[in-house]
Amino acid sequence: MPSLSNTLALTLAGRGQVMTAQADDDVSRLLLAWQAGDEGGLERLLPLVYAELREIAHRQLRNEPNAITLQPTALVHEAYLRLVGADFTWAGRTHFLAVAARTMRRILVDQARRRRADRRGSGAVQVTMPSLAAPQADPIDLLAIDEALVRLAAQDERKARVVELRHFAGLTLEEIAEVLELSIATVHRELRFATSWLAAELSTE
Amino acid sequence: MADARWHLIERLFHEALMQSETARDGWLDAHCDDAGIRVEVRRLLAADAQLAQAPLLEAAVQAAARDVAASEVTSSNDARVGPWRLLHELGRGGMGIVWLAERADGAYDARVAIKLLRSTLASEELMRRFRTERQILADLDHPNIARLVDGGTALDGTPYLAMEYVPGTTITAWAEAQGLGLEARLQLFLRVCDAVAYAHRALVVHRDLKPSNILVTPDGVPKLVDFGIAKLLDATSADDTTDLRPMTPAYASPEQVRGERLTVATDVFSLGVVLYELLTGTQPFRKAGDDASSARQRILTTEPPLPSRLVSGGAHAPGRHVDAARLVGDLDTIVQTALRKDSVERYASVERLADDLRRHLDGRPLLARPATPWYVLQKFVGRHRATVIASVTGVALLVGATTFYTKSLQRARDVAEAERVTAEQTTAFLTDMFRRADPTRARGETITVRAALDEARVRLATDLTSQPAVRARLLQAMGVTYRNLALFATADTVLRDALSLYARLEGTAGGVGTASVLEQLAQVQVARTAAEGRVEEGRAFATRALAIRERIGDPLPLAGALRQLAAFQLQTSLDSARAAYTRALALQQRALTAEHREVLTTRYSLAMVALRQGRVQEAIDALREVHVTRARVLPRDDPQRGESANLLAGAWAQLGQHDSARVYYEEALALVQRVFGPEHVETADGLHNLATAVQAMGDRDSSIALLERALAIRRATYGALSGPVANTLMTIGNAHNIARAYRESLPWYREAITVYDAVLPSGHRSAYYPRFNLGIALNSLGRLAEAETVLREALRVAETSGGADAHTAPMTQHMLGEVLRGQGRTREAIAMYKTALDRLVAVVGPESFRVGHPAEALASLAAERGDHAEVVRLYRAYWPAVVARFPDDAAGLGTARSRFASALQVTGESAAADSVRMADPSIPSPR
Repeated sequence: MPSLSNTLALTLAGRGQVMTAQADDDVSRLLLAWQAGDEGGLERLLPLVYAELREIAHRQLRNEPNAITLQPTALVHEAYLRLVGADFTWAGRTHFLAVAARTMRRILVDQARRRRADRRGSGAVQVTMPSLAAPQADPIDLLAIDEALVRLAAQDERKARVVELRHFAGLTLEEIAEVLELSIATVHRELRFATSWLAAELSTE
Repeated sequence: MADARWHLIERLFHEALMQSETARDGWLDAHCDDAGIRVEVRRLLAADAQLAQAPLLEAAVQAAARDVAASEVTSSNDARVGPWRLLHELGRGGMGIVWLAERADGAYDARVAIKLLRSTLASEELMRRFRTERQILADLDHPNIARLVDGGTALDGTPYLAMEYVPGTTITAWAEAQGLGLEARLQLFLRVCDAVAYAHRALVVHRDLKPSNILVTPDGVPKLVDFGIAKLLDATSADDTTDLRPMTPAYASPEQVRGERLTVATDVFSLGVVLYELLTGTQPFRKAGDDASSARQRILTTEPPLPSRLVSGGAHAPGRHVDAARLVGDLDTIVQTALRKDSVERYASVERLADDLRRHLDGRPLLARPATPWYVLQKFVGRHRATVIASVTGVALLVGATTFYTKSLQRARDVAEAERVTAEQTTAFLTDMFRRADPTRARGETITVRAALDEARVRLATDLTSQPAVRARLLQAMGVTYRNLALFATADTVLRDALSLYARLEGTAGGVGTASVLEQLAQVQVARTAAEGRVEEGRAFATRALAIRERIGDPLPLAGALRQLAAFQLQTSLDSARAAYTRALALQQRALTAEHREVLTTRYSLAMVALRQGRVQEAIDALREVHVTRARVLPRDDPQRGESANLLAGAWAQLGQHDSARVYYEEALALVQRVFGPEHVETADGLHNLATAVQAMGDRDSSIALLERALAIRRATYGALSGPVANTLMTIGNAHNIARAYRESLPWYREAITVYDAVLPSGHRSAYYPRFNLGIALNSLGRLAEAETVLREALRVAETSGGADAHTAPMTQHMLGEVLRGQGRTREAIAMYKTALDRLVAVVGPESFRVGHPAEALASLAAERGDHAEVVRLYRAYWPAVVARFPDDAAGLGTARSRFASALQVTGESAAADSVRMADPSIPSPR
C-alpha cells in the first residue's frame, strides 16, 4: 500500500509538531510487559509508538518532500529498530507490529476526526481540495470504517484485529498468523469474512 | 446479533464459498432455513465477489489517508470540475462530496450543486451508463424535482454530476421549524407524492427517497433531489438488482434489503417511511444502537407501532402539532398500507397513496382497507417462515420418498419402471412450479410459495389428466405444503382429491399411497382440532391408515401410523395412547438405533402420557434421558431440545420443584429466542412457561411482566379470541392468586373463561383450569356460593373430558370440600375430601403434595370433633404428603405438627409425640 504510507508521511509532516520518543529501554520493557499479558503495557506503549511514527514520517518528508517510497511496513520497521533495537526477539517484533497497526489506525482516525471538528467548529469555508481524487477520500469514510471495526470487535474481537493488522500496518498473512498465534489458513478465512462483513456494513452506512 | 447466529452466518459463508458460484444460491437455500440469515450470507457473498474486483477497504483506507494529507498540506482557491468552479462544500454522504459551484466561464449565471461521485465502478463504466441515463434524467421536468444540469468526468477521472442547486432544509426539519399542523404536513407531502408520481410516469424510480433528498426551499416549495442517481450508481445495475447498493437502511424497502428487483413499490415504501416520520417525528424502523444488520433485519421482520399510538405516547416532538386522535383509523391505515412488507400488498402506485391521503382530507372513505384476513394470514406465515421453508423441504422430501419406494418395492420390473417415471414426472412438475414462482429463484418467500401452489393447482386441473399416479402424488405434495402454510381447509380439499385418486389406483383395500394420504389428512385434522374439534374425523383417517399399514407390515411406517393415531387418543384416552406409543416404540427399536430422532420422539410422547397420567417421577426419569440424549445428538438450536426442556420443566413444576422447572424453562426460552427472535409465538410460549415457574417461586411482578410480553405476542398472532390468549390471561390471574391478591385475579379468570368458551368445543379440558382457579379465588374471598357453582362446573368439565390430567377431578373435589366446609356443611365436606383423597392416592401416589391437601383437611376436621385415632391414622399414612403440601409455609406445617403431636399424646404415644414436636418427620411411622 504505497499510497497509504505516502499519505501518512504527508499527513504527519503537515502537523508540524513532533514529540520526541522516550528512552528506548522503556519501550522494550513495556513491550515485554504487554507480551507477558499486561494490557496496561499496551496503553503506555501506544503514545511512544505514535510519537515515533510521526517523527520518522516527518523526517523522511523533510529530507525527501515528494517521498512516495515510504511503505507502511518499512515505516513500522524503522520505528521498531529505533525504539526497541535489533537484538529483540522475533516474537517481540510481531507484537510491536501489532501495536504499530493500532497506532496507525489511531493516527488516521484522529486526523479525520480533527478535520471533521474543524469543519463544524469554525463554520469557515475550507477550500482545500485541489485534487479531485479527494471525493474518494472522504474522512467520514475512515470514521465509518473505524466505527464498523469497533462494531466488528464487539462481535468478534479477533476478526477486527486481523483487519487492523492487514490494512493499517500492511502485515503479511504470515506476520498476522505470528502475531495472533493462528494458522495462516485461519487468518485467511478470518480476513475474508471480516472484509466482506465490513464491506457489506459500509455499503449501507 | 446473537452469537450462534453470527457463527452460523460465518460457517455458511465459508461453506458457500466452497460451492461453485452458480450453485451457491441453491446450496444456501438447502442448508439454511432462516430467511434472515440467508439474506445476511448473500450480502456477504456479494460483498466478497465485489471485493475481488474492487478492493473496497484498501481503497477506502488509502483514499481517506490521502484526503487527510491533502487537507493538511495544500490549498487552492480555484478548484474546477469541467466548466464549473467549486465554491464551497455543501455536504458529504454515501455517494461522495457535494459542492456548490458556478460556471467558471461565466457563460450564464447559475449555481449548481456538484456531486463528486465515489463509486466502485470504473469511471468508464459509470460514464457509459451515465450517458444512457442522462437523457432520461434530464428530461424530468417538474417544479418539485431538482434538474440534472450536466455531468462528466473531471481531469483526474472522478465522475461528477451537476444538479440544480436547492437552498433548503429537509422536509422533516422544515415541518418542525415551521410548526406545521397535520393538514399542512399532509399537503406538503402530497406535493412530494405528485413529483414522485410524475417521475414514475417517466419510468424513473428514485430508489433512495429520504428526508435529506426531499428539501424544502425557504418559500415552502418541496424539491426532490438525486432522482435516479441511486440506479446510476448501482454497481450491477443491468438488471436492477444488486446487493451492494448505497441505500440508506432506515428508509430502505424490504425488497431493497433483500437485493431484489426494485420497482415503484420501493418508492411507495420509502414515502411511507417519510410520511411516518412527518406524522410522528420517529423513524419506524430505527432503533438507537442498531448496526446495519439489525436495521435490515427490522425492516424485514418488524411491524412498526401505529403512528397514532406513537403520538399519543406524547414522547415525540410533533405531538405538539399533530393530534393523535386524527391519526387513528385512516392515517394509520394509509401508513400501514404503504409500509407492507410485501410489495404486492402496498399501494400499487404513488397516485393511489396520494389519492387515499386526499380522500382522508376530504373525509371520504379510503380505498385501502385495514388488515384483511389474507393480510393477517400472511403475517402469520411470515412469522412462521421456518415452517414455510419446511413446506418446500416437505415437497422435496416427498419426492425423495417417492424415489425410495420406487426402489424398495421392485416387485416387478414394470412396476418399478412405472414408479420411476412417475417420480420423475412429479419432480419435474414441482421443480417447474417453483421455478415459475420466482424468476429470480425462490428465496423461500411466503407469498411466492403460496402463489406457486395456487397456480400449480389450477394447472393440474388440466395437465397430466392421463396420469393419475403423478397427479395423486402432486396433490399430496401440495396438500402437505398447504398444511405447512396453515391453510388447512385447502390442504384438506387437495388431500381428499389425492385420496380419491389413490382409491382408484390402489383399490378399496388401499396401499402405501392411500395410507400416506390418510395419515396426512389425519395430521391436517390434528391442526384443526384445537380450533374446530375435528377429533373424530382425524381419528377415522388415522385408523384407516393404520389398518393398511398393519396389512403391509412394514415396521417403520406402521410405527408412524400408530403414533398418528395416538395423537388423537391423547385427546380422549390416555391409556390407548400409551399402548399405541409403546407398540410404536417397540417397532422402531427393532429397526433404529436407541439415539435415533424418531425413537426419541416416541419416548418423549410416552413420557408426556406418563406425566398426564400422574406418574410424574417416571416421566421425569424418562424425559431426562431423552433430553440428555437429544442434547448430545441434535444440533444446538434444534426445536426438539426446547420441547423436552419444556416438558421436563412442566414435570418438575408438578412436583412443586419450581426452581428446577425454572432452569429448564430458561433453557427452552433461550433456545427459541435464539432461533425465532423476540416477537415470535414460540418465544411467547417460552415467556409464558417461565412466568409460571417464576410466579410459583413467589415473584409476582416478574411473572406478570413476562406474561404481559407473552400476551401481547399471542394477541398479535392468534387474535384476542384464541386459546393461547386465554391461557395467558388465566396465568396472570394465577400470579395474583399465588400472591393472595384474590380480588385482582377475578377479572383475569373471568376473561379467560369467556375467551375459552368462545373458542373451545364444550367439555374441552382447557376450560377446566380457569374455573378451578376462579373457584379458589372466590373461596378465599369468602364468596362461597359463587365458588361452589364455579367449582361444580369445573368438576363437570374434568369428569367428562377424557384428556384431562388425572388429578384434576379429585383436586376439584378437594376444593369443593373446602367450600362446603366453609359453609358449615361438614358432613358433605368430609365425604368430598375422602373421595378426593382416595382418588388422588390412586393417581398421584400417597406422597404427592396434592394428597397432602385433603389429608390435612380431613385431619383437622377429625381433630375438631375429637377423633384423635383418625388424626393419627391420617398423618401416619400421609405425613410426607402433608409436609410437601406446606413447602414454604412453616406456620401451617407447625400447626399440623402440633395437631399430630397432641393426637399422639392423647392416644398414649408420648414418645412419638415428642419426636413429632422435635420436627423429625421420620418418626411418625407405625410402631
